[in-house]
Amino acid sequence: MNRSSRSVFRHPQAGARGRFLLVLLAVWLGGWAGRAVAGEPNTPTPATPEAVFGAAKTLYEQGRYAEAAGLFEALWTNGVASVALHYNLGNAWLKAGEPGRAVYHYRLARWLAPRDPDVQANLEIARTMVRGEPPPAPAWWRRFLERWRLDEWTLAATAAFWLWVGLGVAVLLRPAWRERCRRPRQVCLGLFLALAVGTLAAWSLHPRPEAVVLSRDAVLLHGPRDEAPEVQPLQPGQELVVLERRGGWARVAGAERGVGWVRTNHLGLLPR
Amino acid sequence: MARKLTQPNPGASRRRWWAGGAPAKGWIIRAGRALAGVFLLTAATLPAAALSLTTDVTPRSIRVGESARLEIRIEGPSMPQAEPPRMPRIDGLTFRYAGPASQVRIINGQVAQSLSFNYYVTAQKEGDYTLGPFEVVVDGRTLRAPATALRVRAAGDTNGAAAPAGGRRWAFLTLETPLKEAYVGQRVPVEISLYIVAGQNYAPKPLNNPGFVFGGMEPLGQTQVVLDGARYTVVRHQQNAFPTRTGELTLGPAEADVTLRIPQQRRRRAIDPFFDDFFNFSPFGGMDELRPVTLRSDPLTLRVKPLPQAGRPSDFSGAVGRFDMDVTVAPTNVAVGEPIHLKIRIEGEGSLENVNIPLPEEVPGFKVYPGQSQVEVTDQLRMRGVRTIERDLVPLEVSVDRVPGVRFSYFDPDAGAYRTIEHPPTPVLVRPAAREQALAPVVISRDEEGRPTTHERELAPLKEQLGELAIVGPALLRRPWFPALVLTPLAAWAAAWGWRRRQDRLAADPALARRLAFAKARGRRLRELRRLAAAGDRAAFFACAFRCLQEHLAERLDLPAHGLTEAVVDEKLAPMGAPADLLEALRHWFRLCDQARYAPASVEGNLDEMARSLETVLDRVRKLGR
Repeated sequence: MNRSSRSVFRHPQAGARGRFLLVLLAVWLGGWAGRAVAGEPNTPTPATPEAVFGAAKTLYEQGRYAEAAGLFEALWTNGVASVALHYNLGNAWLKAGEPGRAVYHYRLARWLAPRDPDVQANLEIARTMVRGEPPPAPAWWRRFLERWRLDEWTLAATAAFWLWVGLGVAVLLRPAWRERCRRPRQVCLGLFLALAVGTLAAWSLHPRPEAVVLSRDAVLLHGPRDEAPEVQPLQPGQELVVLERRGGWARVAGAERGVGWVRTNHLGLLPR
Repeated sequence: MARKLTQPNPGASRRRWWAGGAPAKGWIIRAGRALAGVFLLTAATLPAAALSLTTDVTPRSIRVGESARLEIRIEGPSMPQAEPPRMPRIDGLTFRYAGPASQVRIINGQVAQSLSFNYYVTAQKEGDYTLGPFEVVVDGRTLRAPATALRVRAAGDTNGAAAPAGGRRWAFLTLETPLKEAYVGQRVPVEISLYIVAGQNYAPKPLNNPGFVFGGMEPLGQTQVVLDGARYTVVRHQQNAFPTRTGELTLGPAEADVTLRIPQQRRRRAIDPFFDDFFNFSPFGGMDELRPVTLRSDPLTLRVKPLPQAGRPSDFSGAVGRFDMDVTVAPTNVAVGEPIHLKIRIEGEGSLENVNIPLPEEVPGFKVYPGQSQVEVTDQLRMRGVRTIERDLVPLEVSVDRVPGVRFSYFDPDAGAYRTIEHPPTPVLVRPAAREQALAPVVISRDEEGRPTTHERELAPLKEQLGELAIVGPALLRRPWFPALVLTPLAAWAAAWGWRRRQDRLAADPALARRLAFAKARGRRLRELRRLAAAGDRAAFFACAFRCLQEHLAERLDLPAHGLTEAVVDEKLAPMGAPADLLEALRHWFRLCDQARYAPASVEGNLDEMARSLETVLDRVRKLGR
């Protein structure tokens, strides 16, 4: 992920229309945020996502957590995504008393940066608040696999594969290099196999899509209908596994009382 | 025929009477006819004369209710063909056909075969009876089996050999309970025992008396006992009865259907039939009588008392027996709105279906969700077991600090008193809901005494910069183009492999390499020739034409191109059978090129036309020998 990828926008639902809206939003938000922070009337001035980000940070530091979260959220809903944005969103929502949204954005931040210690620490705090006790420590092998994103495992395995094949091509083009390339080719093959196993293992950690309960009105029902009997109320921040999606409903597992249906607008779906 | 016989044939007479030499006479023929008739008559009457019919009944003396075996035997030198005779109607006796039996005996070389028809004769009245005579159709003829006598004595008369010794019974049923009195709802175990000498198809009927609720009937096993010198097989079943009203209640009688196997008297062994094994084959095999009967026990009387009013707990709900209770509450540290699971486990002996705990539907401070309630039986009699009742309690406010206690009362019939098991309230820690606790300390552990310890953990600070923008979307592995990306190097490898193979092949085959090189260079050379002709560069044109000639001939003759001259036309091409005009044209072009090289001014003509002419010649050379 480098700076050049900025122009390729980023949110799953965002496209060219999203970029256009972002520009409009930035202009509007820049003026709004400037007035909000300075507390004086002002005319809208052009603003970049960084400016909006800074304004939201200022609101947070002033203790206006809900407003800060709203500003951060506006960036996110308009296609901006970064580790810092999701991490700050998690902090803002947690301080604003929305641990469900906090867990969701910390999970997104960890999906982008699994080795960020701040993300790990704050996610653990949010989960502790949701569960009432610290979450159980994952097994060593799970920690090891989750140190890298799945895409990082995939790219590393792909690179090793390419290198191995490239050396094979070189040997074909220059047979004199055969002996010289023998050991590097063996190393590349071994590396590729190990990384491929790691990729498959990392893939199998999350065999199904996951979701976080965002709304405190979320209720687990026996069927995908509002009239269906209630299984249990869901707590914001509960992390569930999505078994099936049907219309605006998702069949989820992981609640205390088993499997049930919940409206998807009460859930934050995590990428997979 | 008669005519032939009366007209003697001389030849035939010689053959028949050659010993005496006398001719055949008519009286001899008539004597032969008479002898044959006598023989045939004797043969026809011989079976009837050789057949013997006997009637036998064993034993000859039985008691009322017992059976004897009647056998009608037909014996002869060959196996007779007969139908079983029809039995007469005799008041006090019933006949039941038991099937045929055949036998072959060889005594002193004499073969005797017999066919027997067997019947069971069951006596209903005492008296002396004459059985028979019986008419039997044998080989199409009706023969008569002699009569026989059967004495039937009264049922109490025990002198009969086939009767159970000492007046004992073939089978009987008992109904027993250890309790003479019981409380309403108390379990009353009832044992139904079948005593039987030999039999099969035992099917006890479950008890069904008013004033009781009965449990299922369970087998207790099978033993053998000796009563009054006779060995009985005892088959026991147990059923639990729960009285539902007070007073003197009748329990039973128990009933059961069973098929008795009554051995018949043996012929050669005087062994007490009581000592045949239960369900074993009799020495008579299928000749034992199988008699279906319905047995009935004596009823019992049970005095049922009401449960005492004194000391009855207010929460008593009718459980009678002996029970233990275990209550679990988890988790005990929850936020408002999170469910606390209450599980009550009652284990013991009694009617578990009647065990009920009056859990209130509404508990102050909680929203109660009904949970599962199930009974798990742990013994065959369905008396010991576990009843599990579950509830989910959702605290509605942070002021809730305990889950209410649970009381369970039951009546202990052994002690004749009520018992109460009480589980105290369970302290719980209810935290504010997420919105309220955002800035509250985070409880992350408990001390040794179970009290919550609080640790306030500060959030890591905000990130200062927006940082690198990222794409939040499906993983690479889930993108459709990713497999193509991974496999791209394989295409490069395949191309390199093909190239390497081609290089190796060309290295191993120089002729092929030359052909391929010529094919590649030919077009380029001809284009250059045309370009030089158009440019009017005569020296370069003829130099190029000479190289074209050399290359085309070299490709055809599989020789190196350099060094080929006009001489090759006569030395190589002519032996190949090339057309003479082509040879002449080639010689002409070689000479023309030499002339242009050494005396350029002497060569004239239109270069374009010469180029077209040369192309025609070269094309013919290229097709030479193909």
